[in-house]
Amino acid sequence: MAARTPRLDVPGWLFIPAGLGSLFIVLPLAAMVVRVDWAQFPALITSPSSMAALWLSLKTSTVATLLCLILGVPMAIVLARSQFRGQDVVRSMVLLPLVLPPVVAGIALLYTFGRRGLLGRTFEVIGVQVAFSTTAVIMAQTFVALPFLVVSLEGALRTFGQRYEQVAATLGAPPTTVLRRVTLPMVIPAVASGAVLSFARALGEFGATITFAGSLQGTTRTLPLEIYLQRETDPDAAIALSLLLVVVAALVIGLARRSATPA
Amino acid sequence: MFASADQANMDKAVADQLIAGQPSDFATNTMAIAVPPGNPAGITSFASLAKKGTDVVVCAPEVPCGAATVAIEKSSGVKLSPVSEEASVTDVLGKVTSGQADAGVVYVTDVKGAGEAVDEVSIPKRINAVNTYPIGVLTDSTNQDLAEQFEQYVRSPQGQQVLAGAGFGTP
Repeated sequence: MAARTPRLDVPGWLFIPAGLGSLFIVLPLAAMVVRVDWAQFPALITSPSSMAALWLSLKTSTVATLLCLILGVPMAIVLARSQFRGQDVVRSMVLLPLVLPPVVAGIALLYTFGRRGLLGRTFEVIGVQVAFSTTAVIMAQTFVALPFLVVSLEGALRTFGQRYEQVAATLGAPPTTVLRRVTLPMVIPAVASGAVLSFARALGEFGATITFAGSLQGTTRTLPLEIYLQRETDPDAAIALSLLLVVVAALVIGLARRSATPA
Repeated sequence: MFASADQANMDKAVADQLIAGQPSDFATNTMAIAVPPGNPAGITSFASLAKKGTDVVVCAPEVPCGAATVAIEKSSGVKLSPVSEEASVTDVLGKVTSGQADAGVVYVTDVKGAGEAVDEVSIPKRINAVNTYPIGVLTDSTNQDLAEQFEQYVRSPQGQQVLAGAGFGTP
């Protein structure tokens, strides 16, 4: 028999748990689709309160994602590319919002930026009222979404290693040039996928928002909060809005995937 | 069995034929204004909630405590512009206990339950809304007798005393 390169197949049995896992995620979504009252669907998702919630969600999640990029990219680079004392502690603390229940995140924000919080007075003095404002929604979303960007980007930076950066430095490039011309172009896909994760997390944010920001149509009531409220009186509307949220999230992830994968 | 915090939800359950026989009223609850300890914003009445710059939090009109708040707005002629309309009364209370809001419109029982964490500014009977709590045995209950006994106990003087201790009124 002629020698040939062995085909690298995944073991067949792996498909069983993998399939079960996929079912576990897809089935509840399918169950929701089945329960949607399609005759009422257009009316339910285009009601003024639904549109206000959707628009607010998209707006705040976009701003939160931008904040995640502005703060998270430097955080990931510093964590991956420098050494300082207490780095491990800082890394663990930064990732904490990933494991915190969102309500806890909301309480923490409340006691930091709330009126009676650590910095609340300072904010009030400089004339910034965070309480019950759209700003509070964006802060809650950024708080819970930031670690997603940091963790994915830091992982990518470590995987790529520092060879190219070292070469560039040897050739006399100052640190900022290395960052701009070598490091960042290398991890653009990771930045993009991290941003998508952050956006998705911000879009789904509920617990921290309701605890910290409140709930008022057009100001703080994002789509998840609207779903929670509708569930009280109109389960059909809640299901329709849930599906809308899933579709928006899926669209964002799908579009970002497409633009992030090189053709 | 099903005990509801308002008539509307019990009506739904009865309409869907989930309740065996007729539900009966077992308690009433009225609304009150909860303010942070010391009442920093100086709230004196329901009307003073409408003062400009007062951060007042209420329940959304979709939920029972919000419907009751709307009823008080109607009977008093005071129009509130709340900074937040929460989906649950505990969220309203949370905004007050944390000092985030100047005042919140909640049930009398919530103010009582919160103890020292909030102060109460009462709403006079004349404009207050009364929520009646109905209770009923479910048709598909596997333990009808026991459920009926419990319903009777809740409505007995003993049961009413417990409820009164928590701030509820008698229907």
